[in-house]
Amino acid sequence: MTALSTTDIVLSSDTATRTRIVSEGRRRWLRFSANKFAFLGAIFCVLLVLAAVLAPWIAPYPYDKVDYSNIFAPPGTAGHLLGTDNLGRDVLSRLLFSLRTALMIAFAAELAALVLALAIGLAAGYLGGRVDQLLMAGTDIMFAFPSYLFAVILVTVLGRSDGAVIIAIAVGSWVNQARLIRAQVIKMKVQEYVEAGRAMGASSPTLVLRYILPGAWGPMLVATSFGIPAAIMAESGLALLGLGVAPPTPSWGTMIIEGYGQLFNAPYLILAPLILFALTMLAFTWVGDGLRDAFDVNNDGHA
Amino acid sequence: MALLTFLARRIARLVISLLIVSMLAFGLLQLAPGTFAGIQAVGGGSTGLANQQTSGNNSALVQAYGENVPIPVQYWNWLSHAVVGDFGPSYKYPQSDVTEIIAQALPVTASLAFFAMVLALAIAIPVGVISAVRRGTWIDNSLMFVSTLGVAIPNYLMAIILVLVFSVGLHALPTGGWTGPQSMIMPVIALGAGMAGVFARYVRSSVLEVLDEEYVVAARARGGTPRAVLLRHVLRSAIMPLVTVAGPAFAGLIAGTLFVEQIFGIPGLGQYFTQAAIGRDMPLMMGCTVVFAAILMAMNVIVDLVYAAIDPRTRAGLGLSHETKRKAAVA
Repeated sequence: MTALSTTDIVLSSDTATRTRIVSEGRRRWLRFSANKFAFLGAIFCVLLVLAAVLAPWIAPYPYDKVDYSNIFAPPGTAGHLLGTDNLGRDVLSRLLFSLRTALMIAFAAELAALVLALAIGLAAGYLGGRVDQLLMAGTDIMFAFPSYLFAVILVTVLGRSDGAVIIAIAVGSWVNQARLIRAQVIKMKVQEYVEAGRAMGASSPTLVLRYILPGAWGPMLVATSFGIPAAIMAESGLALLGLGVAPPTPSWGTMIIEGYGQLFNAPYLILAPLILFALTMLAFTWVGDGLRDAFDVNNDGHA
Repeated sequence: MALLTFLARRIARLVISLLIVSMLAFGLLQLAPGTFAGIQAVGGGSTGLANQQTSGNNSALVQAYGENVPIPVQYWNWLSHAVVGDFGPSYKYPQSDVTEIIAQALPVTASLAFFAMVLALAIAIPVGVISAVRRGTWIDNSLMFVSTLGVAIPNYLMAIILVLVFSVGLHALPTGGWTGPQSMIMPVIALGAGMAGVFARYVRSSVLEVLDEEYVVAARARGGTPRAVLLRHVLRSAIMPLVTVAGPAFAGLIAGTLFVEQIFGIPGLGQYFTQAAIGRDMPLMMGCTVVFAAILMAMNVIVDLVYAAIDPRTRAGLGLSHETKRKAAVA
């Protein structure tokens, strides 16, 4: 947080290198898996990813299969474990396909944000000087521009396609990561082993990619792991506002706002997405917390 | 004097950022289907009142924002009105112009945001301090578990959970609307809960840091009661990091109003922004964007000032101290 905790980290990692018995990676894994919540969260996240990938095969019905003879079937109805909605669509199937939408968009957006952040963060941090000033002035402006406003404007401009939502979310989330990467690069580039590499005649791209980048991946991983639940929240949030992926593509946000209309006569419609969504957010947050502690990273930008 | 220079520099940067944001938004919106002038015939023209207004205003609008007007000129036309507080007519709500809508909606959103902030601080500071002091006990564990819940659960889910409990379950509160103090309860809790979680985690970790500081140990050694040490020495330094997260937290709060106002049907700025986006009401979108961005940027300046006021060390970093010679400003 302040200078104080940084010296703490330096001290502790110094002692670690001096008395190193287990490898850094193993030490981090031990620290991560000792955190019960992070470990449970990680298992749940793996299950979620599996369910999302396998949704077309494990979902009992297509997400858009309408059945007017069987509307508002309560949970537990034969063939519809979680019931059906106002059009007779199977809630469980829609839930699984919404999970697929959420994860697909969140991972794609975070990947795009990471690539953008890497390019800008590395360039700004390594080159310094005027390039740095320009890039950081750019991120300053993005930082002051509420990312949700920008996302809404982008979706208005690009239309409600999957790609548009991915771009809208990515544009809103790269700034934090770019700042983080830049800070890390500035810290790393004066390290002795980087100096040594330079003295041996390594070119700038080699220095950045082989010497500096590997040291920056911890904070990047942590930032990305916090970015994913934020992106899931953005995807559903945009859908909730009527500005997310276009129907018939299912989304938790759409399910929630549709369920909200049936709040009093069929509360189960909103409960199913609400519970799975909340658990998903919690699992990813626990994993992020666990990674942050395992990597000794302060994640100040995240709020 | 230094303060004035600092303020002037920050305000200049704020104005430039705001100009860039408005240019960015204006340029992007030009790429959207429809034009600033043309959409009115389609969007707002369906009602009788709008029709009358349309025929009256349209020629002026076409002159300013028509298809054959170059975009930089259109932007200039928009800007020259915007700086004097005239954001143009709204297409979606033809009865009033954008400035009137914002003047009505802003206090609504501001009061939600203010009370949410107060609520978050009122919860987070005691929770964070108690957690830190009782580090590792079941009290700490359960408080931090609940805080993580607050961090993880999006405000719109929180809003729906509150509706399920208080409206559907207990029939205690209305599900939405903006009729009086009781319609603020659930939106403020929904907005404040997440922030309380974030703040509580920060307070806890900064109290933990401070607790081991020598001056705290010294205060304790001099015979200060635990309560006095906590209140006089620990709390002051522990709350400071909150000021640094206040900026991002405020941005989150603004984003939150979009969702919470939508769910509770509150006529605030967030709601109008969303409706403008759905209805492609360009002037209203521009107006809301600029006002939101201006508030956020002003908040960031205030945060820096407050930070300088409570921590003399950062004054140097901000260029407020006399001995620092600043490099050329980025802007």
